[in-house]
Amino acid sequence: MAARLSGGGGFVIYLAAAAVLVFVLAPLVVVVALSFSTANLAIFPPVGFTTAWYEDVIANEDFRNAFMVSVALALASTLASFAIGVPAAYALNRWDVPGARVVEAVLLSPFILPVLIIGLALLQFMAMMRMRDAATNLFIGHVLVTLPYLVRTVTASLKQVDRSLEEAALTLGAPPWRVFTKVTVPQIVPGIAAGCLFSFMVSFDEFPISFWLANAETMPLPIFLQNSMTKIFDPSIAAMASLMILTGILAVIGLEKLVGLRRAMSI
Amino acid sequence: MTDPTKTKQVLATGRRRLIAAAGLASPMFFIRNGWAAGKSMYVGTYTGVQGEYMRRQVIPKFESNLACKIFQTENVTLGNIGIMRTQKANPNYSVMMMDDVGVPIAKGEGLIDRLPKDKIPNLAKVFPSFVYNDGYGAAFAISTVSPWYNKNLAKPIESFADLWSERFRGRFMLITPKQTQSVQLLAVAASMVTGKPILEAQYELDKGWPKMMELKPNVQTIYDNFGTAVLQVVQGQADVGGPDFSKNILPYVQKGTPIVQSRPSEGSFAGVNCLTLVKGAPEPDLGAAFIDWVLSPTVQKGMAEYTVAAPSVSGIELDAKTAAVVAYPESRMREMKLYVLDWERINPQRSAILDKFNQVFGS
Repeated sequence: MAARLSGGGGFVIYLAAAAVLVFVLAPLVVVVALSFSTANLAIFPPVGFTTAWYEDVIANEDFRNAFMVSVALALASTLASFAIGVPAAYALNRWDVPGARVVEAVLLSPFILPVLIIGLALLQFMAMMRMRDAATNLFIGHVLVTLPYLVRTVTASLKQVDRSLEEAALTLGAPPWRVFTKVTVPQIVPGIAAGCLFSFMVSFDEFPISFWLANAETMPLPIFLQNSMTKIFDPSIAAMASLMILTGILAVIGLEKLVGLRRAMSI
Repeated sequence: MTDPTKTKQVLATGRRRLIAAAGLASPMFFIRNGWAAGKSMYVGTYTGVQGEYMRRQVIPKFESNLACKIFQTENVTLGNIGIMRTQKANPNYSVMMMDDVGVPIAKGEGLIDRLPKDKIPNLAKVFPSFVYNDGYGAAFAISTVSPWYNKNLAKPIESFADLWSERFRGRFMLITPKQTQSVQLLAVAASMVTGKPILEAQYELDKGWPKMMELKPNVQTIYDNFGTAVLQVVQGQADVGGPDFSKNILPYVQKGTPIVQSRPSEGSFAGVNCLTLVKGAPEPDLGAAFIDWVLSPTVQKGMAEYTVAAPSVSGIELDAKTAAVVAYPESRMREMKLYVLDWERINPQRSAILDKFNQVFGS
């Protein structure tokens, strides 16, 4: 059982933690509250209570399409990032790869470059290459920004792996692939799970890249939300945002069921 | 007396000839619209209510008529010009929409082509003053631009000069200098200082800055997103905002909010949305056909009534509700004193104007 903090110092830490929690959660609570308002516009404080905005939003075919596009894009880019990121992190940390630091810096560079500029550069590159399919272009753009999360978290997990267990397995005659799957992977599962969660949420909420690469047929939800806001800012916008928040919560619950949140976040 | 047998023979022969003629003609019907079958192109439209109308009404009908596919993206003028700049060597888009202010910029940078009159018959119906830069851009919708206010909190705004009055101290939400409406306000300020009409004062914009500095105590904040600005004014956090487009304001008016668009005595500005053909477009003929479709009476009437913005072509019969509020026809534009600034002269100064705005209102 986790130890509790006690004394004056403990009180201050708990108070600071509560303040940060309120600071982070308060805007989300406001958005959810607005989504149940009976007012014509998204004004605060909300007035009355109705679920009609949710009914309108869910009945809106354009919203459903945008939601499915975002979910599909997030799943696809997470899988792709997993397929590329895990081997990349393993190779960079365990093998003697020439220029490993440079390769790692390149893979992690989307963390430091402004995403809006990445999107614009991708638009230019794809025009040069005559790549006109929005779905493909979005997939490539999203993998570019989600891959660093997998690489980073798996790298952190690999550094915490007990190498003596791997060596013992090798000594006992296990082939390298069996050592990887039976000894290494169970120890890096928290890193993989955390990286996948971050990748999914980054892709699902991604705006700057989608802004440049989306079109009316393949429109992720954040772009749809922004377009809706330019028409009229009513509580349906808050309802859409609340459904996005719910998706995030479900993703975290999924992580908790699969791996355990504490274990995933302990990387 | 006519022989009925002979009459029947004549009629039968006539019917056969008619059917035969129709049979010969029918491929021509399919061929006329068949040239575009299977083609696809990208079109850059505006956001908001107008973008929605394009997506739901204009594009599906065009696709159905010509058996083609349109890929629409929604953006603002600077965003659309930005896309054209990045793709200049290999454009994806064939048609781009932009404000009148953007047409001389796009033409100057070699991003757009002259609109082919022979392929866009409806271009001849566009009001001549709304065909830009030797036919490189044509208006398809005209909004009015003026300040807007909460009628429950403020007395009507009768003049642009009211924005400077004491009653709006700290209660004015100013439009971002990134948008052209800010330059229109600067032209008003220059007019107030020089005493010249707005269309003359626009050539002396620098003289307007001392007046803009006097406005600063009234400015609560500078807004980028009209929706959030409207919410703040409706909730009583400010009284007045703008200047802004009627196509943005009127949907909120129709929603029953206490927002009103003002009719300043000096007149209002025309917020002109234009169609352009991208230079080196992948599908120039399909692009021309699309532009012709947007300028057609069907689309012009439907879009005007949906977005509450004036058509740009002559001969449109609007419903009473729309006709009462939009500046249409051209004679009503003159009555309402709608100004179109000389963007070709102003655009080169735009960077410096933006910097000066940031200095005046940022410090």
